[in-house]
Amino acid sequence: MEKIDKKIREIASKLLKEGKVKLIIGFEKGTLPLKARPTFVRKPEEVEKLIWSSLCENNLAVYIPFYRKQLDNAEKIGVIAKGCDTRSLILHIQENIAKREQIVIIGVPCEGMLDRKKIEREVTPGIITESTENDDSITVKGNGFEKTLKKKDFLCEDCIICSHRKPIVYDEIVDIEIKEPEGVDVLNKVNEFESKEPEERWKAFTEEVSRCIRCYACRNACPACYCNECFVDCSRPQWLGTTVDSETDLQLFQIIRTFHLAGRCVNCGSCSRACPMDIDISLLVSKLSTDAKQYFGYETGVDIEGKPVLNKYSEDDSNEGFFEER
Amino acid sequence: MLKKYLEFLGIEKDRFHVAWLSSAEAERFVKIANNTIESVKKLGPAKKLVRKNFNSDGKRI
Repeated sequence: MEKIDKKIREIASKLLKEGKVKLIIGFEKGTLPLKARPTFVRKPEEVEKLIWSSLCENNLAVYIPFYRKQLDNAEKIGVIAKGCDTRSLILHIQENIAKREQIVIIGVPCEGMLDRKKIEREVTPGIITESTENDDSITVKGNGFEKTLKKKDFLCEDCIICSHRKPIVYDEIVDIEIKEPEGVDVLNKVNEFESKEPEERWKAFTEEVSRCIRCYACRNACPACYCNECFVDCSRPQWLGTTVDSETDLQLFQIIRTFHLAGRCVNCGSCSRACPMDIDISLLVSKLSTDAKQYFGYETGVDIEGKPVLNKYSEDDSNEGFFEER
Repeated sequence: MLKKYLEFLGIEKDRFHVAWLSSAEAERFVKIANNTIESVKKLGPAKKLVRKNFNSDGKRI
C-alpha cells in the first residue's frame, strides 16, 4: 500500500508542478478509523496527504459535474481512479460533461474495496479505534480486542461481482499487478430475486424502500446523477411528494431514480454504501445493467467512442416487451 | 427496459404496455388501444403505486 501511496504522490506532484492540472481529486485519511475521504489537492506541497487503501470506496467521478465551469475555462482536472471510476468518467465524456483531454486520469488497479459495515458487524460489540492494512489482510484494534481479518471475506457486495477492476482508460497508471476476477456470477442476486412470485417481489421491494428517509445520499453519491434540477426537487410540476408518509412516494422515488440510470450505471455500489438505512439499491441497478447487457449487449463506460445504450437506435434492437400483433 | 424493470419489481405484466407505431397507422393504434384496455380491465383497479390520499370512508389521510 505504501508503494502505491508513494507512486500516487509522485505522479500528482509531477502533474501539478508541470501545470498539467489545476486540481487533483484523490483520497486522504479520514478522521474515523476505517474511513478514507475524498480530498482536493491544488498545490504540489499538499500531495503528501494523498493516500490509497482498500477503504477508498467513493466513486470520485461524482465530483466532475461540479467543475463544469472550471473545465469550460480550460482548467484540467486530475482524478485518481479505480476501474469503476474510469467507467463513470467515460460516461461523463460520452454525455459531454467533460472532454477527454480535460481530465487527466491517474489509474489505480483495484482489488475491491472493503465494506466497513461488514467489518463492524464482525467485531460487534467492540468499537474500532484503529486499523492497519497489509496486502491481503486488515488488522482492527479497539477497546480490548485486536482482530486480523482477511480482506477477501469483507469486500463490498458490488466489488465481489466487479468485472472491470483495471482502469479502462488512463493517462498515468500506478503499475501494480492485479488479477481480474474469473467466473464472477453477476446475475446471481438478480436471478434469485427474479425467481420469486411477482407479489412476493413487490412485497420485498416495498419492505426494502419503506425504510427510505429521502435523504438523497444515494443521489449525491452517484456519479451518473448530476441533473441541475432533480425530478424530486421540481415543484412545477411536482412529480411526487417529498415526504416519507406515503409508501407510494418512496417506491416511485426509488423506481424513477434508478431507472434514470438505465444503461448509465457502472455498478460501483456508491449508492448502497451511502445509504444510511441499508437499502439494497444495488439489486435494482444490477437488474438494469444486466438487462442492458442481455438485450443490447451493452456495458456502461467500457467503450469511450460509444454512446449510452438508450441514446442510440438500431433496426436490430430487441423488440422484447413491445406490443406484438397477435 | 422500463417494462422489464417494472415486471422485475412485481408490477403486473399486463398493467403497462409499450408499442412502436407511426401516426399513419390508425388501424393498428385502435387495435393496440383496445388490446390495452382489455388486458387492464381484466386486472381490475390498480393497487400498486397508487397514492392513497383518502381512506375507504372518503376521509383525508
